[in-house]
Amino acid sequence: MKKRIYIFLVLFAGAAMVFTGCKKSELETLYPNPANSSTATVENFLTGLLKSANEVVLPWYWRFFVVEQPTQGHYTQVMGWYNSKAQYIPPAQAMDWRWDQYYNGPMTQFRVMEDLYNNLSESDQSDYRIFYLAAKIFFYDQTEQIVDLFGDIPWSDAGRVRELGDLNAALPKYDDAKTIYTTMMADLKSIGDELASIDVPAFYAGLFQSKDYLNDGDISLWQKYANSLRLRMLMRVSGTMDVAADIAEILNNPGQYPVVESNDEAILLDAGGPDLYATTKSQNGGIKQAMETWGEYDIAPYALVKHMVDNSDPRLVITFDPNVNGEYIGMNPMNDGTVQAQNLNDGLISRYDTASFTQNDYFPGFVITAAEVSFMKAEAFFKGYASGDAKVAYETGVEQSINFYYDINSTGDYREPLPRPTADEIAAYLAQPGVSWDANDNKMKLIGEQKWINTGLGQMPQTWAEYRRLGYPELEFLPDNSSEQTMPPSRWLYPQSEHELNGANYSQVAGKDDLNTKIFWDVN
Amino acid sequence: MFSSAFAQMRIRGKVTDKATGNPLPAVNVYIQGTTTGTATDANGMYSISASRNSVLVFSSVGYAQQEITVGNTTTINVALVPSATELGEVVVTALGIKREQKALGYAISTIDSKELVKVGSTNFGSALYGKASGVRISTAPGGATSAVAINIRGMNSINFSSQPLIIVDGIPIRNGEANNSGYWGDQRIRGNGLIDINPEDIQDLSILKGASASALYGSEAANGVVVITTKKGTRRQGLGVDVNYTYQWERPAFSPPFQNLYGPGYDLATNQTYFGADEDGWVYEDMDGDGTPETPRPIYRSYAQFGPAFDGRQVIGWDNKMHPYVAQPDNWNNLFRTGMNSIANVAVNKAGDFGSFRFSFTRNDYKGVQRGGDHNKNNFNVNTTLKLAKNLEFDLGVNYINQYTLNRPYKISRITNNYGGFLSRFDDAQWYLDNYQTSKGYRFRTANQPSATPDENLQYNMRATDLLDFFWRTLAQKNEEHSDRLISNMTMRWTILPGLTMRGRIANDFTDMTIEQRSPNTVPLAIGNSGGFSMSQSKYAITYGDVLFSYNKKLTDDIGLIVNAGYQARRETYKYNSAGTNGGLSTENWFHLNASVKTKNGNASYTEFLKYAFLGTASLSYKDYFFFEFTGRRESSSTLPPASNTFFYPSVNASFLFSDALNLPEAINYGKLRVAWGIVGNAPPLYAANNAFSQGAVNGIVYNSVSSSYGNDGIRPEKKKEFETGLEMKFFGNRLGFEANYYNNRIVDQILWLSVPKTVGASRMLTNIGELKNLGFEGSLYGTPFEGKDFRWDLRGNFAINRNQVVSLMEGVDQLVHSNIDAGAAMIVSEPGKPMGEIIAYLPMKNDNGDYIVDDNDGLYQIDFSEMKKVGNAMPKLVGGFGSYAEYKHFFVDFTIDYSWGGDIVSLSSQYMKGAGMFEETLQYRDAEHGGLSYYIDADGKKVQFDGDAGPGGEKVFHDGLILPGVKSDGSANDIIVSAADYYLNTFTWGANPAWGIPYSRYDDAVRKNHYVKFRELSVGYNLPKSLAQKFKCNNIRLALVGSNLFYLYRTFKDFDAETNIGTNWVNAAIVGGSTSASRSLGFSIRASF
Repeated sequence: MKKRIYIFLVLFAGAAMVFTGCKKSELETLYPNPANSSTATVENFLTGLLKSANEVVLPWYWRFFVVEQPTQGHYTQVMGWYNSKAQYIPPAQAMDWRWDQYYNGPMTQFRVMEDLYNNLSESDQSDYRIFYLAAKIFFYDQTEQIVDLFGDIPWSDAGRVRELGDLNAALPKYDDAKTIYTTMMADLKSIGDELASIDVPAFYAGLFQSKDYLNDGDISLWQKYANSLRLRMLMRVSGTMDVAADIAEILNNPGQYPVVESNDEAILLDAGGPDLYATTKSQNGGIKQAMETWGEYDIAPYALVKHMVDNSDPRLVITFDPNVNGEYIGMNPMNDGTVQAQNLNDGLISRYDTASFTQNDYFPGFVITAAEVSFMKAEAFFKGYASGDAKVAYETGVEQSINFYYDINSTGDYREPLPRPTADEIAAYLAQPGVSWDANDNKMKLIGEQKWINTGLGQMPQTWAEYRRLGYPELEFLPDNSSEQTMPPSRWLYPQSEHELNGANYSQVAGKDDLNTKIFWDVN
Repeated sequence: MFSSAFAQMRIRGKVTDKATGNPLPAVNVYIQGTTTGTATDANGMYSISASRNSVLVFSSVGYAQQEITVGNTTTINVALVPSATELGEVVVTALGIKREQKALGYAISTIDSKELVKVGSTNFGSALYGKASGVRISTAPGGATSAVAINIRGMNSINFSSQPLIIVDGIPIRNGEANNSGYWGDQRIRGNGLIDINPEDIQDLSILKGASASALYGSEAANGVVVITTKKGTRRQGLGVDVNYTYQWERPAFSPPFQNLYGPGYDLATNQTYFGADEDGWVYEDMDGDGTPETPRPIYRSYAQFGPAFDGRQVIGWDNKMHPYVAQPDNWNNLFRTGMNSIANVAVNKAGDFGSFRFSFTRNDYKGVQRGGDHNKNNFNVNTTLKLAKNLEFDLGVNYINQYTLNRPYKISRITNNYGGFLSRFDDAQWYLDNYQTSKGYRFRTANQPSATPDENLQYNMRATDLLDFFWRTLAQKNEEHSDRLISNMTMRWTILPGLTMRGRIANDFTDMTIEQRSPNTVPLAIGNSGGFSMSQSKYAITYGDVLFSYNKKLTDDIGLIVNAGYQARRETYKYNSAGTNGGLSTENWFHLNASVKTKNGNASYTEFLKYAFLGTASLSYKDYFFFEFTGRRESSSTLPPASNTFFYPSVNASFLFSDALNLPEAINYGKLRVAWGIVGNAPPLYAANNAFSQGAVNGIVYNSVSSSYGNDGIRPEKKKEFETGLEMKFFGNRLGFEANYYNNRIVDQILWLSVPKTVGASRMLTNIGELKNLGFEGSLYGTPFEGKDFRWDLRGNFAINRNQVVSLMEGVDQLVHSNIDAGAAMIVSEPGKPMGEIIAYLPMKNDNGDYIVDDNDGLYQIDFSEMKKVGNAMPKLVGGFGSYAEYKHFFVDFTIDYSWGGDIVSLSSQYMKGAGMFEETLQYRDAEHGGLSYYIDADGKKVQFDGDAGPGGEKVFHDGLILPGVKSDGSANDIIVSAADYYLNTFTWGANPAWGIPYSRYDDAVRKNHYVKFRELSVGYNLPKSLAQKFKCNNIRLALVGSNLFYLYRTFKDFDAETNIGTNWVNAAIVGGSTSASRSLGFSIRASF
């Protein structure tokens, strides 16, 4: 009996140990989250970096509803809106979101990728060079947009908490906006040089192609992206810095520094239809939700419609739908809010075109368009920064823009695409009194207006930056006397989190933290 | 073992209660070492055959067992001592270690099984309301399937788990949090693990409240421990059989105080501008086809109820039928149904020299008040003890729970907290039930949507399509849950030497749950793809083992020593996988993955953690009146970073039984003073500290990224250090007793998601940084004011006061936002130096004289948007309960009241519904009868106060004006008339932000004091006389009418039931509304034992 009891005891104890037995090392094995990866690669981070900015490149509801419509869309009058109290104070939610998006998104992802890249062996670094260069170009593009909104920002020290492992050490100083521009422009020049002669081993070129969903691995497109981006920055600072030589360097050496020359070469993020929206976004629905579901963000703006109507713009019919009376009329910003509401309710206001915009699952994310580059050339030639025919560049830009929007119209499946305007029709448009290069003395007004039409609501940060820099188009705003901010601001405010959590560094820029402080390039 | 056959003789006698002298029926009388036994009759009499040398054992629940050797006498009268007075009363403490109550140096609340089954609660949690001091219960509406939150002694963590550890027969079981707030997540009200534990199987329940009491559980005990012991077989004659049945009806209760005088419509300007209504708010339609609109209808699109007064005229309904224009006072309740709850339980038990066993089966059928739901649960419980040898016992306990749930309650936030779901005062609930689907079974269609049945499309642009959608989701869609849970434990107890025992235990808690979601096609395939099907499977498993050595030794006559030492390990795994259709069903209502239009969706995940610990206790006693104990636990956990995953949790406690040590007046029967100190932990959530890369794919392209949350490989558990002291006394032959405790704790190393500037490359970091403290008093008082031959009255009451304070957060941060309500209109925050859960909002602006300032144009109060000010706090100040049991002859009445005092709640439903003019209180100013001013509107659109039938220019005179008390910007008294509709619509609405055109909205009114005294449970019954019971071959039969959640004796918040919140998290508990309707249960119960 006793023996059996002991056998039972031993068996029970043995079973218990097998059942629950654990080793100290197992604690360690179970610590990491199995849903996450303990390793990451440079190539995967390139995709991660691109993806981290999808929500500011592609249109979707939050970007329009919260961020751009109440601010840039309004200040540039590319979207219609109701006049209301405090309308020229950008909502904190908009400014904070855009800031956080940049720092949590491209900034953090780029820093981690850069850290991974720097830790590669020398030969690996050389193989992976193209990934790093592409990431930098894209990161600089995103950075430029943030500088244009805020001015000085934490940059060279920013995004390094994972690298440093210590919060206090990671609190970043603010870099001077102009210095950031200068640094990026210089680096883009060397990237441009490097890309002009880069030799990517076939294996890595193939890998690059599989990871780069922006340019599908086309290194020449990245080269054009880099040079065009550099040109954009140079043009933006051209009123405050002597950059004529740099501009000439690009425009006079298309072999070394090719830029985006045609609509085929435009840097666009493919929306890929309803499916891609669903897989790349936290909220699907794309431009459909942006313009319809979440309120009336398809209201036609007054001045833009008027410019198109007055000059018989071929883009009018694919950009706007007519009102109930078959006319094209935008929401007049000089009317009182209640009158505006009444007009809208009565169906008297046009809407953005259903086929090209509101129901178009293929509406792309604009990064750099051919027309934008042509208009930069026009300005550069006109101002004598480089040698070339400003008129030709201007007219090329207009034609490219018209064709670009007709391309967008043709991607929609809401209704049959409209036929492209013929060369004669485009020529007729170019002869309109408000468009004709020769008939107008104020060439910068022409260029400014066409840039405004071209970037429009697809690329509101650029639309607003160029509007501030050039002062064109000439827009009217109803002063808001209920608020200290009676007119649209010149920049955005830093988020509260910077005052509270990065106070020592913030205090260095606090003096400039005003809605009416101009960004350094804003000489207008 | 068995004695030889000595001469048998007949022993007779009477068993009485020593305290009262009353005869005790149903006392088990048996001969030790045999299965021979009997029970006393109604007069306490028994007779049994026994031999001289046999030992008679007398046992009865609630009394100390007595053993008497027969000897020569044939009459043995016994007076049993109620166990409350029995100094040897034993309670189950941590790790199943049994200790004498008197030796405990810390507070422990014990609750008897009878308290838990009185009114047919489906789970022990909701049966605990008001029954233990310092224990706050909150149950989400939804009855048998909804989570129950238990909060012990206030708040111990700012961000993380607040739920106690649940131990059943020594085994930690799966409980977990169940939180679903917000609009985008899960919309069904989930349960947590504790609701599976059947109250019918619980013998007793102890709540370990303080750190010292629970220090042996280490890192999960910061929120206290609930220790449940299930019923075992008892020694008795024959097989004991218990049969219990409870049936209850559930009705929706505590519905909002709606007004029934006005129907849908906005303010005058909106009605006219946007809807083409006349000045009274009527829109006319051309029904006879003559081209002239002649038939009135109200504005169905309006969520607000400022439309025409109900006058009974014939109007067109949104269902395109004619209806008299009258209010529907019951439309809210009619959205719901009468539910039911039936619990049938049968249990058999037996004990003897072989050991003991008990088998119990419980069947619970439940239909809540929300339409479309159905639930049943089968609960099998077996508890056996086998005596393998004199020094070896083996226990096997198995609890198998099989459940089926169809359409768990769906959150009604889309009806209560969303203008798109507002039921107008004119709407009949039946219209919605008739119209949520078409005659062909598709989802309702609005006017211009393509449809198989265009003439059934909703003709008018009506408001509450979200209510139609709610019915579609709860009635047309089917969500079926099948769950099987097996909790088992095997325990071996080996007495190695006298005084030295070893116990080993293996246990598991395994749940397998599948959920199938069937969403029918909403439109014919010819119109578009719709519908869906998904299946998911979850497996939770806890594997547990422990071994414990106990040594019990009298060192001297006065000094005793008990030492326990052991090892404990627990592994928890969770596995989940799901698959579903994508893009709709390719064949209508074919619910299978193969019906997927696009590539099927699939997902799978798993988590796992492991904890083990070495632990020990050492207790010394001196003369059985002074006790001292030390406990220690060294715990290692995989949820902590490998570099620092082992922590030590100590505690000490002492008790002094002064009633034994000192010579006290006779009136004092028992007196104990105790003091304790201990440390327990609260570990970070699984994987929160770990840093790694995210990996995913965008259209098939694999990518890496890092999240904006940055973990911390140096994180430590939160540590609660608690001191407590208490006094327990009993008087007058135990007719009166009390217990009082004071405690004081500090929870250091609070784990917070430290907000960091995004510019560092993260938005938050997991950090040990905050500190929190609580201090509190709690007490309970019980007594028997009257006791006589036929009449007895017991009272019990308890209270708990807790003062919580956030000592510190992180440096530079003066506020931690727990809930940002309606885009910053109000917030629930914690600030250093204040209690957790401050509720802040914007308040109207006042000038230096304290006058409110109105806007010079609109006449409404200007809101001061420069600063949010405190408008309440979410922590209750005082909670407790009160109970009474009275019996007269065979009748009895038992009730429980619970109360909560102090503390505020946020009722967003009230904010929106008040602004929409739904509530009775919004009748104020609407007409002359309700204090409205009369005015006409002049040509400039200005409202001019005026008495008369028509204005000077023949203008219509309105009677819904008001002038808000206050001043204009120049300091003169406000004289601007606003209409009632303008006032309510602008003052109580979603959001508060001038930049969004919401400049007058204030949320202070949505924050309400939440004092209540609720009549929680009632049981009125009849114990059948023994003689009658025996005719049914029963020992006793008890019939009762039972009710729960009955009514409020007092409450300050009357719009909804203050308990209609969702989730176990304290922040969610502070936000009311949106879960589902509260309900009240009434029914009957029968309890019989054979």
